[in-house]
Amino acid sequence: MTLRAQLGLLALGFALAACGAAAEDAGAAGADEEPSNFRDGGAGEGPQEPGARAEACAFDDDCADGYVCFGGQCIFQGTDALPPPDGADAGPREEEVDFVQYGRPAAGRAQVFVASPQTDSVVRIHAETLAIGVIEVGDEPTELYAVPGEDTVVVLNHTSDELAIVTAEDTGDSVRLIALPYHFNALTLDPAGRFAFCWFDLSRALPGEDGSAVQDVAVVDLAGGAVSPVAVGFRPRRVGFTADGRIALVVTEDGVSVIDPAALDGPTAARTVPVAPDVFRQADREVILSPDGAFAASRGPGEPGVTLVELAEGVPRFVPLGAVPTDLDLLPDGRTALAVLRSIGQLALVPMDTAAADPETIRFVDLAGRQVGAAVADAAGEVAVLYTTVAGAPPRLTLLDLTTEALVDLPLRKGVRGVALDPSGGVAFVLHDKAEGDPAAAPTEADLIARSDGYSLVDLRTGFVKLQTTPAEPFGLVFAPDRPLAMVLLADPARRVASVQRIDLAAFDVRDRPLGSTPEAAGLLPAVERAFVTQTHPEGRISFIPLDGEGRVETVSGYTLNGRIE
Amino acid sequence: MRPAPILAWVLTLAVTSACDRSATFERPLDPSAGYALAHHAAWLLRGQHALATLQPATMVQSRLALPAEPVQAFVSPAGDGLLIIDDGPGAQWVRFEANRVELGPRFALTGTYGEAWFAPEGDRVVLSLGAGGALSAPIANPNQIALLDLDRGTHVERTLRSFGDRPRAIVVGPRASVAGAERQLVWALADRYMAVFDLLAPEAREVVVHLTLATDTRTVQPRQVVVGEVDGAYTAFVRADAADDIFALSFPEASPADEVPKPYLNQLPGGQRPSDEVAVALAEGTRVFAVEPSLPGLSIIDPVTGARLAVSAELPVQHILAFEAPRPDDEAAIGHFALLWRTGSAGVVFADLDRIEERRGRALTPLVLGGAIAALDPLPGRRMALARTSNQQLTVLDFDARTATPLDLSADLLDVLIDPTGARIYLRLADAAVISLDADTLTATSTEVLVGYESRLLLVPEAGRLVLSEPGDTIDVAVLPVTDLDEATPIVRHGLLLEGVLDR
Repeated sequence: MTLRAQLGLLALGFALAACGAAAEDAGAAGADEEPSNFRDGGAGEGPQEPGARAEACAFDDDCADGYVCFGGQCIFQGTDALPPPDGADAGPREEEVDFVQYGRPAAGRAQVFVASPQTDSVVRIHAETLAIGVIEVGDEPTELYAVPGEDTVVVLNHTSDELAIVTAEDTGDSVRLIALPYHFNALTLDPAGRFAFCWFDLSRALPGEDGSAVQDVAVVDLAGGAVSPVAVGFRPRRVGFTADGRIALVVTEDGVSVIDPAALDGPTAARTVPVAPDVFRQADREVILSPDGAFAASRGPGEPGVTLVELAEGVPRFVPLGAVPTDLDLLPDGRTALAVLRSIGQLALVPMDTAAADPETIRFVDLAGRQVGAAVADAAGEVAVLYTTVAGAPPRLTLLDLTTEALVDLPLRKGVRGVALDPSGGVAFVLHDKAEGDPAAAPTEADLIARSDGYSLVDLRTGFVKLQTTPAEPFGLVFAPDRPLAMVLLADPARRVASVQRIDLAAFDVRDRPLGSTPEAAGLLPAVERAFVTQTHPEGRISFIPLDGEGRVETVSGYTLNGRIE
Repeated sequence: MRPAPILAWVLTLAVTSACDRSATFERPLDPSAGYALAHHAAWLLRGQHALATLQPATMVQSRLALPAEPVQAFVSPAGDGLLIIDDGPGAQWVRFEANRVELGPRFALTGTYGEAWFAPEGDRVVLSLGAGGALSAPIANPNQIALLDLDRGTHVERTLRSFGDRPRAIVVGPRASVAGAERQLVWALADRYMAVFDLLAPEAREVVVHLTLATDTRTVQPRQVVVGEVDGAYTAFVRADAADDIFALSFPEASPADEVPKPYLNQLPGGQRPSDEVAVALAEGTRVFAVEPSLPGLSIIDPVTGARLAVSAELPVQHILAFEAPRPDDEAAIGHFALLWRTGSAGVVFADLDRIEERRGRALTPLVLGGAIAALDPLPGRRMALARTSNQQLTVLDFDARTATPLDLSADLLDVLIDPTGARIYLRLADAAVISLDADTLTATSTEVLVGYESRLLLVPEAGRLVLSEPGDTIDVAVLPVTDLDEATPIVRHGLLLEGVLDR
């Protein structure tokens, strides 16, 4: 997962979730790109009905393009529109930053919830009082997510195959257990916290683990407790939702499986929409989905263009772009896919609703010879930040005014590994690469910079760039949703580096707060003005940091042992 | 200016360790060697169901019949009583006043016990099998304990829940307001866990605190419990072998008085394998000071934030002794200080605990003695300590002056006793010399008393006498005053155990 994808996972207030899933990527595409999460933004046309079933048929002509009539049903067989993979056009692969953090704690309103599989419990730690509560939930709880804005968490019990709904209140804690029909290892909540989606992520399967439910999703109505098993495409990669949270879209290696959780009434098979014209090339694709669930766009390995599909129609259509995209992103308008065509030095802005029928609506932006392999657009959709992660490329960002197509280059001091924008879109966090060698033994100033880990903060309005070298590789970036503030973690056990950096995104002021042990994950509790950082510790450790930068860091360790007080 | 007492501060603030029994009243391995009480010396008369006593100020001897054969005895912290475990089985409380010895309540017990752990107030006792348990019964339950109320004469026997081990040591904490009620928490230390119970609610079910996860095979053995206050809540800081962290167990939430409250557990970073700890209430809040031999140095831990500051001592350290004293920079203010040392090393370090977070290493004052420290004992009520730096040398440490004064001895040291007030130190040497040393002036008087090598020197402080007790079939004693030994003539009694035999 790339830095940008990680940002999507971490930033609070990010409305569309890809929780608990490793976003798929086009790793075999030759040129990598960040997988996009669904985004807020312009709704575009009103939502169609992505969950509609395919038509029955008597003849092939009764079916849409790419489908054949078989046994009275339209079965997707693909078209020959997709050219064979063009490996020669891919160019050098761009490295990706993997920030996936499993076993993350869940941030409630004022409490942090941490699964303690060793004690079959969930530990809650109050950020203000540091009071610890231990709640027995079932065998080996692993995944947990908080219902937005509440001190309620949903917990997947890995061994007992249950879902535990835990509510922590002043009057006491309550636990409701719901049996699941299969063994799962991944959990996703819909944005409103009404439904839980339990599924099996094959990439996280343990040796010997029951993987029989690799094409199943259990949808749990958290209020009523009803469980609906839904068969989906092969190997779900992530579960996302439309902007209104009404429809779940499960990205699989067979395409996108569409689930309307409110309409479920017992076991069912989800309609799965192919995302590539070739029935045998549905896997290993980067897929982006419009927030209204109307369209999907994807890129596949070596394919010199993108494939668009209107989910209600279910017919994937390849749109040639003249080169293999190295990145595919969605602009905030919710309708335009941004494809970076590094090998020809262009960007393509692809309207998902019209590009297949009318390629003239595709807008190509010439980058004037710049080497750009990836892009990220700001929240307003006005500026795209362009960069490349290819080693040896000139270290720089290029800002593109998406309206005027004006380009501005910002030189950087180090190569780029990834870029994330703060929620306001005004500041870019640029994660840098690092040259081999110990910076302490660097013979020259240039080597010192090159050998150091670090990141740059870039003011996208003024172009001011500040390099921040760090004693270890930064990770776990968290942006505050309501103020110019970010937190990033530093960890290098060999060099005894363990700290959290508070980044003032207005003043570009960075303050380091040492931690007792290696940090693992960070989160925010805006309701109580604190951030939290969980750390490596045999019995669990968490530190709370005031968001205002003042005050003391408070640490609680051994909280899992609180479950062993009897 | 006379030094302010330090012992009261140390005890009330925090320290209740498994090793804190006063050396003055340490029980002998051989019961026939005698027990020193405040006004008396006493001997168990095995096979005779009796206790022999001597009031050395008046040389009045007495013999007290016991209801059962005595096995072991334990002196109360104030030296005003003797708890005798017998083969009844049971325990007999014997009260000692200045001129009177009488039987107190007897506790009929079912279990086998070999250790007694007094409350600091001396009114309650916990009995456990311990390491010294004499197996008079064919089977013993090492997790069975007895809680005795010596004033009321009541007791409760019960078995602590066990998770594979037994109480290795028991620490009785101070009587305090805990979780909204007055309690006296007791900590039974076992491998990997502790059982917590309340002496004031002896029938309440104990709370067991595990120090490792169920799958953790480390032998984390709790060794030391010190008590402090964190954000107004009673908090015990537990140091354990094979653990880098200090386990902080706090009781912030109110709980019924007839229940043992459940603590919150927080692990504080104690450095690498801390070897000793104290908790001190400083102006900025309670701090735990943990000695880290591998640094070597001191970890200063804020139990609220969990932050740890490590300060290198630059001399080997293993133990810490906290004390209060007038601040050198402001004589009107009382400051918090500590002495750090390591057994086997010649160096000691004085630490200014009030300033160490600000001044780091500059708050430490090292001092190298003339020899390696074999043992170090604080002088109660004084900012002084006595270090044994060889078999024939003692060093008196003055905390105020930061001086170390060596004292050479004419022969090997056999016994060292320190007066409960800290005013005097008593020594017995292998060449028969008995010495009384004034701690303030370091002037000494001595005499020679020819007794057997295995004799034991007892201090009977309220009587102002030293008693040399020579164990054997009959017990011979020699009684000396505590001062002016060079002018004193020992009063010798032979055959103490034979006293009154003909009458019987």
